[in-house]
Amino acid sequence: MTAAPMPTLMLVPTGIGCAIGGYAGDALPSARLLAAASGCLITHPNVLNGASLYWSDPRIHYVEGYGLDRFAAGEWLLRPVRRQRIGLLLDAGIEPELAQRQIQVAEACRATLGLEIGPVLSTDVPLGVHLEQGASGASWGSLERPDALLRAGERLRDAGATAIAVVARFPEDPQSAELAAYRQGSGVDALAGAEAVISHLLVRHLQIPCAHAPALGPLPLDPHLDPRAAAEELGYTFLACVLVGLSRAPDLVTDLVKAAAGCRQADQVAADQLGAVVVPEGALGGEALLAAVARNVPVIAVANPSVLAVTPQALGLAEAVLPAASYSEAAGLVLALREGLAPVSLQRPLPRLR
Amino acid sequence: MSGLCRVALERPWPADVAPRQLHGWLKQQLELEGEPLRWAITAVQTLPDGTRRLQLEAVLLVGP
Repeated sequence: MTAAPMPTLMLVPTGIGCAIGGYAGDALPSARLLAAASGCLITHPNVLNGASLYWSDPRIHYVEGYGLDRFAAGEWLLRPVRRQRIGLLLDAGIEPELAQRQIQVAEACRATLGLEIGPVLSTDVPLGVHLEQGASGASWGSLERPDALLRAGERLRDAGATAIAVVARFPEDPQSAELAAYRQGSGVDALAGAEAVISHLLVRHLQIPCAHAPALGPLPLDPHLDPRAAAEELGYTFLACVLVGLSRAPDLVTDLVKAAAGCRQADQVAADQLGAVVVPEGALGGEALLAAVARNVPVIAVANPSVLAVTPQALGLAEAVLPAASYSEAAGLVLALREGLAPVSLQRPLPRLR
Repeated sequence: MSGLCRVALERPWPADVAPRQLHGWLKQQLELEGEPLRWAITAVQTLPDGTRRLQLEAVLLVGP
């Protein structure tokens, strides 16, 4: 007999250089394992997006970071859907040929994968994306014209889009030391922080699933490319994974008054159903994780080095957190929790009752 | 609409704020500066006297 699915939240914060998940969708194998262990995994695009590569699994819910934060805080619910109609939002700053590449990916996803995509529109002015880095080493970013982003998002929603894939022109410096380090597996993804800001803004404003892919020119061949970054070098765009992820992303249910009044559907997922949250052991300072801690959700902290050291010990949570040396071990802990086993009973020595 | 503002903040961690209360307390602290869009604790520093300081990085929505 298989235990009922146990909704589990997997977080690999964007732009902090995690050894697993800090590159091009390279936490996807770990996500697939956790989905199998839990039967229901809720995670975010940074975990699942591998540029031209993706994996579709009905047990995995693709939820952008702002929506994930609201979900973890118990402010929004998730409602699985059969499909989304994905509007494609292009930054007016993208050169015509590069914009055409994006549209051809959308066409390919319609023809080859059967996704419902459209309409396509451009912002009325370039978004003006800037990349920044915090004192911690984490990547951040901003844009000059958030108003243009939100106007275009509103037009897509009003035209019938139920989810939005946004592609913004990102600044690039193919000769930079940071890019070389990232491609060779030792740096932070400099684009990731700005990508998160763009998608957070859209989701906050429209309250529908949204995710971002950057528009960049092709890079010269790097014979020393790290396998974890290789997925980003397969094609001309980073869009296919976003379209696939959004195609079955759950709706974001923001009217909790209606839900509390008895209209909550059986298949909706709420934070109070979470059985575990899995997070890198040095990245316990994000909003979703702190919200989960506030709700007493069991935390599994996985050894997954990054530029941050916000550990269970630093936050006074060492006694409450289940440590895991790998995502394989974390999956075992998730399975134990799903089966109703006390994780401590699997360890030796077994401490006496106090 | 509001503008975006990236900030780095440092706050002493009050002894009466338990780890489970950090989420709500930090949101209150950030809301003094603007509407938090994306934020995280990026470092925790323990001082010689045992008190702790939290470093945060955030993007806020500010202005009308």
